[in-house]
Amino acid sequence: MAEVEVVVAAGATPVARVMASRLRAASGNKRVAALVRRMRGSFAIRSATDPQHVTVALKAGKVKVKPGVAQDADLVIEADLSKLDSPGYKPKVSGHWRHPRLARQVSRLLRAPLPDWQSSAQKFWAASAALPDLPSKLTILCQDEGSSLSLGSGESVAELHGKSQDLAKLFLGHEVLAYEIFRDKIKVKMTLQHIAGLSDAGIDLLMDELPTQHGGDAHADG
Amino acid sequence: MPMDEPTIEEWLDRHHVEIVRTHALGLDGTPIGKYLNRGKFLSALAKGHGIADMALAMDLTGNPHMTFWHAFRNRVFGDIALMPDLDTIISDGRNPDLGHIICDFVNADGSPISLCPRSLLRRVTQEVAAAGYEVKAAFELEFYLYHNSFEEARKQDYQQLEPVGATPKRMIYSLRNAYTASDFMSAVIKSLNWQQLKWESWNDEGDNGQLELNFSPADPVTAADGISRARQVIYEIARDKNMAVTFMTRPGTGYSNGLHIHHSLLANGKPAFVQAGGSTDLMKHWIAGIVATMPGAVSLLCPSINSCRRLIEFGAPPTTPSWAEEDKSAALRVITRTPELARLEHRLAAGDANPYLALATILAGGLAGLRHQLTPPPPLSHLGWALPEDTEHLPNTLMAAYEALGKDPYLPQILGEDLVRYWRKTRRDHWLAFHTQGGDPETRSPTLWEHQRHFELA
Repeated sequence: MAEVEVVVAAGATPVARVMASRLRAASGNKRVAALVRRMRGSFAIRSATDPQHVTVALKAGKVKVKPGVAQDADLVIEADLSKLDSPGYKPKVSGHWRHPRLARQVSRLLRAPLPDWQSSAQKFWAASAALPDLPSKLTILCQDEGSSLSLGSGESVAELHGKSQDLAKLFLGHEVLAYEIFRDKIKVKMTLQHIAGLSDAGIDLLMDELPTQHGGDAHADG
Repeated sequence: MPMDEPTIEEWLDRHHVEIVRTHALGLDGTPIGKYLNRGKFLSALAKGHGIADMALAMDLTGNPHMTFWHAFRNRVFGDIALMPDLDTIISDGRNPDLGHIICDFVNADGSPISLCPRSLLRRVTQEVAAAGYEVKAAFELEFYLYHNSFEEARKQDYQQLEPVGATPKRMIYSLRNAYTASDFMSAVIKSLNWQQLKWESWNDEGDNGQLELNFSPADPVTAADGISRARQVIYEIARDKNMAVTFMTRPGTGYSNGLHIHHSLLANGKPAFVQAGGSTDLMKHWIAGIVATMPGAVSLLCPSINSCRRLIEFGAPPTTPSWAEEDKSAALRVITRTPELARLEHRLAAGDANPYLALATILAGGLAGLRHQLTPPPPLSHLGWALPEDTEHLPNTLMAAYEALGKDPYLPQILGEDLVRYWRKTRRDHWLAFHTQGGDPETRSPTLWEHQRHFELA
């Protein structure tokens, strides 16, 4: 069976990188991967709150993510990006009358669950191990699940509290810890140095710049 | 005579100075400092006076760098210090109680911080001196002047401002345009004179309301201090006159503000670039190093999304890593008319560049060429713009410049690995903020996001 390959354009904007990462992560689920392989066409997302835009073109499991709204996009979705995956949120969609099947598929794709926060956190921790300015031990407390996870060991301890979905986005590099703290989505008990170090590692992850990442913009996920 | 603690006290007595304003430039080139009473100033001479460490770890709008780190910072919020350079003290020509002094950023114990732009330029200059050469440098400062006040400009989102000028058409060297700015410039020149800043000329520049002010050559740190002080005094005079001025690189869609930087080398007090037999090997290696490091240098010379907007064909700035004799379309204009006039004019830096970082970067390029005995590419033999796509071009976006600096093999060796690493993080942060906090990547015109950061603060 053909793999799902997500390619992000060189010089891609943050929203394009987040979208590419999101599609890669979601395609780790076999059903989502099968959906992606069936999809043909393109959709653009225009942020309703700021000038961020992204276009995604899909064909036989090949996914190309580019910044901006492509003029020939089959669907154009205008949405508050922060609510895009929220249950019940209905963005404005144009082109769905002409491409109803694609519209349904895109709706499923954008709501596809991300990997659970624990596995994302473990991957993040392993990938960022070589970076400076991180705590030697990180304890994560998930507020809605009542669960916790401790990574690493040692005396330099940091603690992070948040909801499962916000934690997952953080450890996938879709959100930056420092900004999430300002938005009151994440609470922490840690030094400024550790906030900066963990934020830096998250941005490195988004930018494919973590030392243990293989680099480049193309990734294949089965 | 170099100043020390006893002589500075005597100097304060002689000039009746009761308050000293300290002045330093952060990484983004924003002037910061404090007004100190005489007693506090004198008591803090040994280790400097305290400021929050975020003063050297904040973006142009004062937001602390929260997404990357450097060892000079405290694990939480703490203090560093500003260490006055006593040789830079001057008395204010308008306020007899006031003195001004330039500072370096140091740790709270007085030890140096590798990220301090001024300390970096001093260190690179010392490395050139250790190779046997003295540097003379001079800046060309460009800015826009408007009839509107800063408050009006802000209310208008920095749009539809009225540039100072006599003609609605773009001109250059127009005496009629210059005349309309002459009252303002007379006040500027008076201030430059009491600040002992040696200027050579000023003129109307290429766009409506755009002016250029040229300074005499000096040692690198003094030359960069002069730009730092001149920007502040020009800002203050504009504010006093209820006008607005900006060093923002591209406030509109017309010509951009640049910061051309000239420099020459002397050996034993004699011109080292050109001698009786013509250009020296030193000059060839020096040019080669500057050209080889130019793609990476874009990040430090054009430090913002806005300043990268300047890198367009026929926009006046160079678009290729190039050099040529007497050619203003090349990035490095080489002037070899006589040994005494021989110099290099680096034409890449944007109006919002930090003068210390920009000059340190250029000298680091030259020094790399000398150390590695690099050979320059052939000089441009044609116009430097509109060249075919297979010609090597300079990076023209903030992130392309970020990538180029990450690949540069020479600049980190001289500027310092940790400075280059930290600088790249600041640029990535700037890019991320632009895209996620309201900047529009699809417009070719400067956005409000840029104006709000650069118009009054660059």
